[in-house]
Amino acid sequence: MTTNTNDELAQIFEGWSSTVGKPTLKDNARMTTRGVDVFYGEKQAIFGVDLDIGKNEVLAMIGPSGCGKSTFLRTLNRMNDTIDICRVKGDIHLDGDNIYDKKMDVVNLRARVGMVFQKPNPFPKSIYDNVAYGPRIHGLVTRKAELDEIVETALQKASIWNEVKDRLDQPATGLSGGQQQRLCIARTIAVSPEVILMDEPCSALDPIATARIEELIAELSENFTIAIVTHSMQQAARVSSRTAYFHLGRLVEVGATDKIFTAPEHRLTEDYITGRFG
Amino acid sequence: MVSITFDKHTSGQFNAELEEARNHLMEMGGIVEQQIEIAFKSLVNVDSELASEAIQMDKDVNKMELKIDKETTQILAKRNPAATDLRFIIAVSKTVNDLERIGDEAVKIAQQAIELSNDGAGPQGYVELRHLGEKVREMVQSSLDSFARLDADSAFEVMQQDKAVDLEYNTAVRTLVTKMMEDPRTITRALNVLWALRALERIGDHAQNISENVIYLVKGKDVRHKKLEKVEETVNR
Amino acid sequence: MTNQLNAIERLAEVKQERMQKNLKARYAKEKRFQVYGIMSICLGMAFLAMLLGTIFYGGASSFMTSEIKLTINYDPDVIGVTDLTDEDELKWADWRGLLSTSLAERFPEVSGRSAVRQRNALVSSIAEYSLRDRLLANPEKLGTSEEIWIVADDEIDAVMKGQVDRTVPESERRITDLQLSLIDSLEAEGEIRQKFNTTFFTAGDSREPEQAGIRGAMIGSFYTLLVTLLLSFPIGVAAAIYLEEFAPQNRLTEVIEVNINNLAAVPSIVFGLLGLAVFINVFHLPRSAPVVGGLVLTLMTLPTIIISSRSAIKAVPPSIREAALGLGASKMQMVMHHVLPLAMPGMLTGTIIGMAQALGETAPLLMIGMVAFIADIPGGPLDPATVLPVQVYLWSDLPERAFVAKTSGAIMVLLGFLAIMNLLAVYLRKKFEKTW
Repeated sequence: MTTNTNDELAQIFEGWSSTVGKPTLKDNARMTTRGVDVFYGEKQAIFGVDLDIGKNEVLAMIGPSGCGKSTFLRTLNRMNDTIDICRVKGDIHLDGDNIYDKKMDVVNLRARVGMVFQKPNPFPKSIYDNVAYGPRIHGLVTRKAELDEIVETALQKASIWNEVKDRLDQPATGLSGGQQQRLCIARTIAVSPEVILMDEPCSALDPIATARIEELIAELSENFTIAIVTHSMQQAARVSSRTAYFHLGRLVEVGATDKIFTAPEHRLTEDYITGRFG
Repeated sequence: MVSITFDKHTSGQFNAELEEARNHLMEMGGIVEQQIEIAFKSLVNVDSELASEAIQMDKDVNKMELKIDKETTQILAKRNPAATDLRFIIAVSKTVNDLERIGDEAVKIAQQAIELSNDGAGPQGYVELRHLGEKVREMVQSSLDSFARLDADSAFEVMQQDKAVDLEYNTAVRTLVTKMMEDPRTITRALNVLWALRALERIGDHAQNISENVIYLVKGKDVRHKKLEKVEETVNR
Repeated sequence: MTNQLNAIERLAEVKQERMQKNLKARYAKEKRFQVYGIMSICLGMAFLAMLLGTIFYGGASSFMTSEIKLTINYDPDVIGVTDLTDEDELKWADWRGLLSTSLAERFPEVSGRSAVRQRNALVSSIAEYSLRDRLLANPEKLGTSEEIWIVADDEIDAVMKGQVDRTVPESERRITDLQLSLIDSLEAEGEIRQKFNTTFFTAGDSREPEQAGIRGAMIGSFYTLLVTLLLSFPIGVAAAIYLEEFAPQNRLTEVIEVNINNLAAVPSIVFGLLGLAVFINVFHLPRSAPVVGGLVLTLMTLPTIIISSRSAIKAVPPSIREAALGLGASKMQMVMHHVLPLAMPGMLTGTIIGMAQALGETAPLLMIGMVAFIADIPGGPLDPATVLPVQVYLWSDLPERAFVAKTSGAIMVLLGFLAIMNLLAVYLRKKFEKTW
């Protein structure tokens, strides 16, 4: 491997000035990040990322393991707050509100920016309670009928309603992996978030279940803004409209997905998507 | 734009497969170049034996086409190529197509050579024919060369040459038409020559297509149906 | 590269032959290891069986007791009482007389001071009090007579259980030839019997083995454990949750963590000393009371509960926490809605095991005076009481032969409770355990 020897990378990043492509959007940005640095203790994990996520777009983040894409994703709804040694610098705005502002309540933020995780993680409760959990803790509903409706709609939007409508009271842990992940997506959209973050949502699923989730992502993009981190470049190519490539904590290149996958501009992007990293 | 290499994939097999496709393409290009040369010689020398040799060669060309098509399909299916690899496979597959068509045109030239040899003496208009033939052969050669070297500049030069070839072709056609009007007895022969000229012109077009493929492969921009100035911009960027 | 390949190729030729040799040795090794394992298990089981065997063998007799059938005539003249409601008269009542009169009627042939004393010693020395209680409960019986079974003396009981060797010379036995002949005649008439010893479970401690029971100790243990549970479970769980979920990771929490682990290894008697110094001498809590015992055992059980609760909390997958936080649950909601229910079976198991330890604990309780002889059954956690293991300790010290059996009997009851608690732990774990 010649491209990722340390010397060469150091060379590449020494002259590294800014991201290739267009990381910012003019007017339909839902989330904007400017100069975001993330530190784990002394170690810097993210270096000055500027990136916008547009309304109703699916933004895919790709890059080799440890490139900081998941870390960056988790700064977007402050999931990194749970890690004591993690510090975030820079501005992240959601619809104009600074999410790291003192006035921004993290509970409120996470109701606005939902998250779907790598491993399907339904609560060991009934299917109904899983979906109803978000609306309940945020006090979004006052009547049972309203909650029923929300649960049904969320399950329908996550295209799992037909599979579970007869067994809403059964434990969610009895579902298959793919169903569990769709349930987790239903649980996330039940609080009507503006942005949905997905952290490798299909890495634990088989190809058929993966295809269903990808189909679902396409449908959801009509109503939600989605940022997805994925290890599968094919998946990024299939589901996203824009793709961002991260390398060693830097946003190397971002652009329209078809452009990135046919004619990337940065050598590192090229090497990664053509499989030249080992 | 990043420079293009076909080795250095994590998968050594993938490297080998791409390399093989490239080698086969070059091999096919060599056969086609030879075929043009023989066909053209048979026409100029009114040699029906050479002509049938050129026609025979088309079988090899077709075989190569099938072989390379199979390889590219397999790479697409197995490797999910992206970026340069994807553009390379697309360019190879299109170029194979063009080469096969060039082969067909060479066969047409050879057939005209046989027709002419049945008629007897050499045709008029050979000057034009000779000239055009040289130019076109050169185009094919340099387009394949630019593919081999992944050289967008020389590919662009081929595209520029096509203009000259078209001009040459039109002049030749006009001269032949004049000759036919002067002496109607030459019409049959002139028509044979005309068909050969036509085939040569088509070969030039295919050579231009190959150059366009090379530019797409190297620059990542589709330059088909674009004005030459635009193409130049792309190439120089 | 080629050299390596060649080495591997060369290996291929001799592989089977060498492997066959090696395999035999490997299987033999495995077999040997299995045999060692089975042997150690057998050894352990044998010791356990021996322990249980001795206890059951020695203790089984404590669950039986001997009774003598006597005709009791509630003669006011004998008792010296005419009005059962008169407190003054009752003070001077001769209840013993009832028994001796009855025995004299049964064995008219016995005469002489010594013989009469031996005759009267057939029945338990405190049987008169049960007669008194019986009459006071049914005052209309005064002046009538009835046949009832009277508890025999523990020495007589020993004879009935075949624990007395009659070939030994009279001077070396605690029972005389006369008494033996009286027992024989009673036995011939069917007027002496062995029955299930309810007294053992219903009475408090007593100096007389035939009247001694473990009820007082059981109730004492119950109150002590109740206090321990009520204090240690909430405190332990709260501490565990705080340390696991909320406490920042710094020096202080590290020190606390190490100290909790150390505390679990502190000898229990140290806790007893602490209890004596703090709860009794400083706070002046009542001596010998289950409440103090409970406090001391709480100190002792807390580390166990905290450690097991923490590991139960740790075992809750982080993905569940992330899911809750990701939906916007606050930390408190995350803990209460998800972590705690999932960790509960583990916490309960740890608590019950801690309780079982506390149930079997003696040393710290000795220090706070729960070792006193207490005949009354405690009415609440503030009354003086003793506990089962201490009762075992007390009885094991007494000289009467019957107390040996009682000791084993009490151990059996204690073991029974321990087994029940452990089963409860298993049951709770199975019932509340959820898979994810």
